Amino acid sequence: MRKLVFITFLCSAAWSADWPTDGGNPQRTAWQKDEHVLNKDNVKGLQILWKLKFDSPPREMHSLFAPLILEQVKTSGGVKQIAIEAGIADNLYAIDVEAGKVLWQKHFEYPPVKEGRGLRPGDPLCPGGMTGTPVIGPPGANGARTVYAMAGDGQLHSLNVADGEDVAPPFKFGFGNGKSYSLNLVNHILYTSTSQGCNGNPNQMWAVKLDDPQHKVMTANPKSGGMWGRSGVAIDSNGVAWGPTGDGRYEKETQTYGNGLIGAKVEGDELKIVDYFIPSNWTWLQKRDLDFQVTPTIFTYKGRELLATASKECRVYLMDVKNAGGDDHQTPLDRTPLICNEEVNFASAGIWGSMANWADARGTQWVLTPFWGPVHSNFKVPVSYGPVKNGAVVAFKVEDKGGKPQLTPAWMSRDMNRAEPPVIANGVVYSYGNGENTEQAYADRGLDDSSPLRIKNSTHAVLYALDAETGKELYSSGDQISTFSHFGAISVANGRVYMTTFDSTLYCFGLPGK
Amino acid sequence: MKGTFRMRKLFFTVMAVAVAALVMSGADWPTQSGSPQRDGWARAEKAFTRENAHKIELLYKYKADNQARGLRALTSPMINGMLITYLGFKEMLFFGGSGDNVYAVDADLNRMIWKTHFDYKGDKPLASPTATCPGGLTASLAMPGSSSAAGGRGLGAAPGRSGLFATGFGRSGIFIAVSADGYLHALNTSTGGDKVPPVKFIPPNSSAGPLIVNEGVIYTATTDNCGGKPNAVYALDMSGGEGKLSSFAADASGIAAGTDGTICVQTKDGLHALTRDLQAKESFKATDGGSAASPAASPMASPMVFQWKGKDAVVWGNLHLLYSGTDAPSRTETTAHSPLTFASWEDAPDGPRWVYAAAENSVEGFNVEDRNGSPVLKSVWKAGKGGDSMVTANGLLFLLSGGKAPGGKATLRVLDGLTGKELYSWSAAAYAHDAGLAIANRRIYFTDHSNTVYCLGFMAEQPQLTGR
Repeated sequence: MRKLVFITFLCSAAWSADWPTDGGNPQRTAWQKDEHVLNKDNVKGLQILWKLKFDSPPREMHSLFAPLILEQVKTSGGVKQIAIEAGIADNLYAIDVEAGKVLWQKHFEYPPVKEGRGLRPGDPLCPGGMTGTPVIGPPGANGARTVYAMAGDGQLHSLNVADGEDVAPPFKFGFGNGKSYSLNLVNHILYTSTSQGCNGNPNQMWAVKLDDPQHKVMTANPKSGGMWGRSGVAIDSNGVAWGPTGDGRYEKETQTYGNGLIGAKVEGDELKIVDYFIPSNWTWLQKRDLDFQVTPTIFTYKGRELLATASKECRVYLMDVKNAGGDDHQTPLDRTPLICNEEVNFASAGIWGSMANWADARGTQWVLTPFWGPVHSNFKVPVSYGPVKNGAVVAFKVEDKGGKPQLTPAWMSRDMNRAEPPVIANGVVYSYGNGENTEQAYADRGLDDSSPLRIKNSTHAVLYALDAETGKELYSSGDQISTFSHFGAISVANGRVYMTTFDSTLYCFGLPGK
Repeated sequence: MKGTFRMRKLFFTVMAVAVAALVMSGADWPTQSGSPQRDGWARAEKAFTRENAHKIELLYKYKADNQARGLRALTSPMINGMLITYLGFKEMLFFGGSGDNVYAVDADLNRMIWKTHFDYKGDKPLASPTATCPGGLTASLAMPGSSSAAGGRGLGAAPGRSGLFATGFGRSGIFIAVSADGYLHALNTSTGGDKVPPVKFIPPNSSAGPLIVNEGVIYTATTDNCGGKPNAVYALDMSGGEGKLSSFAADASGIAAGTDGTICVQTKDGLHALTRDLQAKESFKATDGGSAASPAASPMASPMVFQWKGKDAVVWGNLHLLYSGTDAPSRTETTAHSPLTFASWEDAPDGPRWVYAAAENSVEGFNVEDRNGSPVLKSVWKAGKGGDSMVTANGLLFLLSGGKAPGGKATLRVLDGLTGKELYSWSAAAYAHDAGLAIANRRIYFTDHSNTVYCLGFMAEQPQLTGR
């Protein structure tokens, strides 16, 4: 009997799954490799296990960010599986996910931000506050885990996941109200990126060594409109952090890398741009505001480390991280045809957010992208599920063609109202239509990107589970989610699927009794 | 507090415009000859050079479903360089069709955005077309602004103006058109719908010259006494919301606006300077016995205004030059043969001011020189083959000859603006009556009688067309 208990414990420990950062890992694969509860057969039984509404008011359209999950956290009340949830109103919550109850919460207080030029009320682009999803570091010597969170004033806080206590004094890392994106952490180096010049911030990549007593802030600036990949930067095995540069110009002579992708690496005490990619039609992207702005996803395929990324133009690019874009920095390994955005719309179509990848049991490598708006009339995909008018997820297989890895369309999901970055777990793809009103311009008056208007015209998010190999719908949350989700994300771990919404609610889906 | 808020709002507006100016560039071609001054100068255009002009190629043709009337088909093309519509950022090519149509085409993709057809509501029946009086929509369209707006709509004008002519980064604007029934339409640039109720402007079945929008007033001149009404210049002041109409009886061959708002009207025997509401200020007789451009020759034979030493100079008729920079307007004359169109640019800061005059069978380049404080035109070169419409850009002269109906072909030629040497020539499928040329954002446009818009440039610069 004792032997059986021990074996059960071992299995449990082996199956334990964490989600310590946005996208699951520094490569932003969004692939939960350790999910063993939910599968293709039982996911149809998903239910809302619990939902928590936090006293953390939204700012503009932003509210809560991707939950982070640690399965085995030693707390004063025993070992618990904890979700860390960040709110834009500078709040951090730790939730006992078994009980669906808050274990501790923290509010970051600071004097009014004086740096910068201020924020514009009603501007959804620059909400201020804590905008970057925190990150949880690896276990310390004592097994404790630290969550790193950057408050709206740019101060980086280091808190014990178990109790929320400071484990180190906060220090200045980012730009106050500067709209930092999801934090990433590799080898004690913390990364983020900033965009849209919010509060006058410099749009750039940021890094700091956590073990540097001086906490020197290192930056790499592509001189663009902003590095607004939703999940921040993705980091390859060589420590190169890859981030899209958003709108802007390309001028090699002045190291201006707008509408492209930069790879930056910490060398000594500097963050240096070591490689870049600029699409050959960057002038077109700039002219139509089709920013290159999707956080890449990184994977290894037949011994080569590759990354996939995309833009609002609605193509997916495949590159080798050792030589992104080839000698001229403009030649990717593959560039798909246009998937969507036939209207060339800057606001309500194209690929937004981040991507995902996974490998199935047969070794087939998959790359997934969400998109918004109608599918392009010329896009051919062998498997699809009815007309797509509002958005969908598309899956590609990575295949060798003529000795080069290529992206072959495999399936396109059902229509989703603004499909958001997928997560793959145990053969199931989770994604959601965010239900957000994405209009930024109107026939009667032109450009008018206004949070109140968009909030008023938004509906509600819908979570979907799809067969990862066919795209077939396995589950839909229907009308169960009350409001939309802006800049949210899915997290999956240990039989639970988490997502957040504008009304400051964290939803936990799962199978009752599992 | 209110003041602080206003300051903040202004600050953000200015910042938004500044950022936009950095990241986007889209020059407009808002009216015939590019500006209310009719100088035909595409100031922001740098794509075409002496070295690459021979490589200009056809990028696309847009065939409109318009019915030609008499010699008229499509009006001159116009460009709104950067418009943020509910469908996205667009560079918009817009033009009218004689069948009472207005078209807006995505200039990058050669794809129609919208088409508007006007239902005839005149108090007289729609006239049958004749050679001189085609009826239908005849006036080339216009929008507020000038080709000098290098950054596109809103960036060349002060933002925040309210009402029909509101401008500013990202704001919806208007295209002005006059339908066959004589009503003026201010069309929503995003949809083609009337932004305000149509306003009675000119007599139905008139033959109207190209529209000008200047300081909230829309101008045109009717020719050939069509519609049973004598020729006149018309002005509709829309700056106050409701249209205030005024007119000036004249056989005008063309009109241009001075930078101070003076309206210059060229007639067979002279030049009339009018107030913005068409009250007579001064008249100047042609000293060559009335051999100025004949109104019958082309309604596009308009005077041209350019700045010389900070003051307006007007070229009109047979190269008469009127200058406002002296106590009494100074006048000089240069003999030419009935020019149909003018263009001018200045090789600032130290280079000369160039003036070009094109007649049916010749084109001549002049430098403006100082003679005792007054400008005079000195011929530098003269070339055979003339044209009906000219644009000057980056030291080149683009000349469009409409060809003779019915078998002729409209021909575009590119000349070295400094020497008159021909660098390039390309012909369309059909002739173009009252052809107009537009250049903006690395592309050249014109129309012909086959209801086709031609767009030329360099294909290698058009990734959206090539898929590269």
